[in-house]
Amino acid sequence: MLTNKKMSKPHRIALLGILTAIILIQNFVPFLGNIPIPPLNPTIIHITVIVATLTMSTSDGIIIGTIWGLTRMIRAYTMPATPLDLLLWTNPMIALLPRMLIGLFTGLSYKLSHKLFPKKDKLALASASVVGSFTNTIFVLLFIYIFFGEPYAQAIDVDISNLAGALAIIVGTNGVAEAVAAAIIAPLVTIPLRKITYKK
Amino acid sequence: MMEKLIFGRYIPGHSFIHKLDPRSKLMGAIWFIIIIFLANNWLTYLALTVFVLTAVKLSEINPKFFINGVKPLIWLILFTVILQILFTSGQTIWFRLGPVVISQEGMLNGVFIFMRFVLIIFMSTILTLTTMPLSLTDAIEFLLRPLNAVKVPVHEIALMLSIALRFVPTLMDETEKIMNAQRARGIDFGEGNIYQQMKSIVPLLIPLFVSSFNRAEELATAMEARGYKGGEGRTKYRQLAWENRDTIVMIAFGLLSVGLFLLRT
Repeated sequence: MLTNKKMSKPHRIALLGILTAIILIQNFVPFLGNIPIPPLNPTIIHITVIVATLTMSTSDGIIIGTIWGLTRMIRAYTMPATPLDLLLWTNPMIALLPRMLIGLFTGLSYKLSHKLFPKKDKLALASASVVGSFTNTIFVLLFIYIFFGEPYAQAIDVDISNLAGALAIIVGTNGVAEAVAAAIIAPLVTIPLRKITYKK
Repeated sequence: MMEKLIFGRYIPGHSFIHKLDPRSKLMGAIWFIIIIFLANNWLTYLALTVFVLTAVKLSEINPKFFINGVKPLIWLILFTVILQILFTSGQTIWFRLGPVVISQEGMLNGVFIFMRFVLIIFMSTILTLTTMPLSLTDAIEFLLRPLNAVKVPVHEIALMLSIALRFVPTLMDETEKIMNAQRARGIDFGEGNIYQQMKSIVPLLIPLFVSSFNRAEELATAMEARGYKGGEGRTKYRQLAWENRDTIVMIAFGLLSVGLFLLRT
């Protein structure tokens, strides 16, 4: 997607494998996967997915996103940490699909902004990261609203009529924090990585 | 940091469960999580509990490991259960205080949800305590093999997972090293407000990713040098062997499913 040089097959498998290892570590070591600032708990795992998309390709981003979703589900089933784990992340639609879409939308938006502003690569990287981050937040909340309207409202202790408001607050806090983190960190990580991946 | 990781907690042994083929264990655990949703009364949950406790006994693993696995989760599960009890409406009402209604149905529902989570956690604990992660990857590769027909690169996925499991401890060490190095340069991890915390992530993630990518490249070079060319005609070092005991376990799961179908209301 980013250069014309194609990665060899063993190289791609090795990279995907090691990125999977990073995702596993981030999921199971609390500090590396989340920034716990009560009551907020923004994740930084989406940054790994975005970096994978921007340094490798859209399809690789989707693969890494899928791995994140699966790991999240396994974690919710085997070692739940919050009530939301039990209520939300055990559902494949909520846990899996939004994470798969991160790669897709990040890749698409990068291509688009590259076409519109071919000179401004850093802007393209940052905007694609923001799009990827919001993809996750918005789709998770959308599926929560579709599947889990009522139990979710009880879990976060609000009346069902206030559900839309509660959802908006979560978008406005965790989601914004995640998007800001992605916009800053993902390009900073991606730029040096490209030099390594395509140095030959 | 390492002790917080759940995998790699494999306990070597020679029990019946240890000797089972990873395929039958994996299929059994997944099947168990599916059929547990069939259970909806006391008898079915009793059957499932007996089944799980038999498996715990057969694994010859100290029951302490299972209790310790559930202990940190107990408050969380209880919280969920209490929510269920309070918000399930039913006909037989035991207690009412303003909007809070405790009904017999809600109570039963809560207890069943509690049982379900504990049983699922026990079952997955048996799987991870008695199976090496690499054998699990072999089992996943075998079970995904039918997907080859629809052009899913099953071999590549399995290799990817094996590489990931192999590199988790390496990358954990690497992370600790980088964190210590950056601490020596004056970075505080896990302190301050959200902005400061995110700022402290940058000098951790960049070296981590750079060294991971370098490692991947070295690995790719090594694979190419050894003539790796995909899954076609590739032989295996660890051979999976399906034996009679695996068939017995599958029959036991079959009987359990039939039993649940008959006993459920």
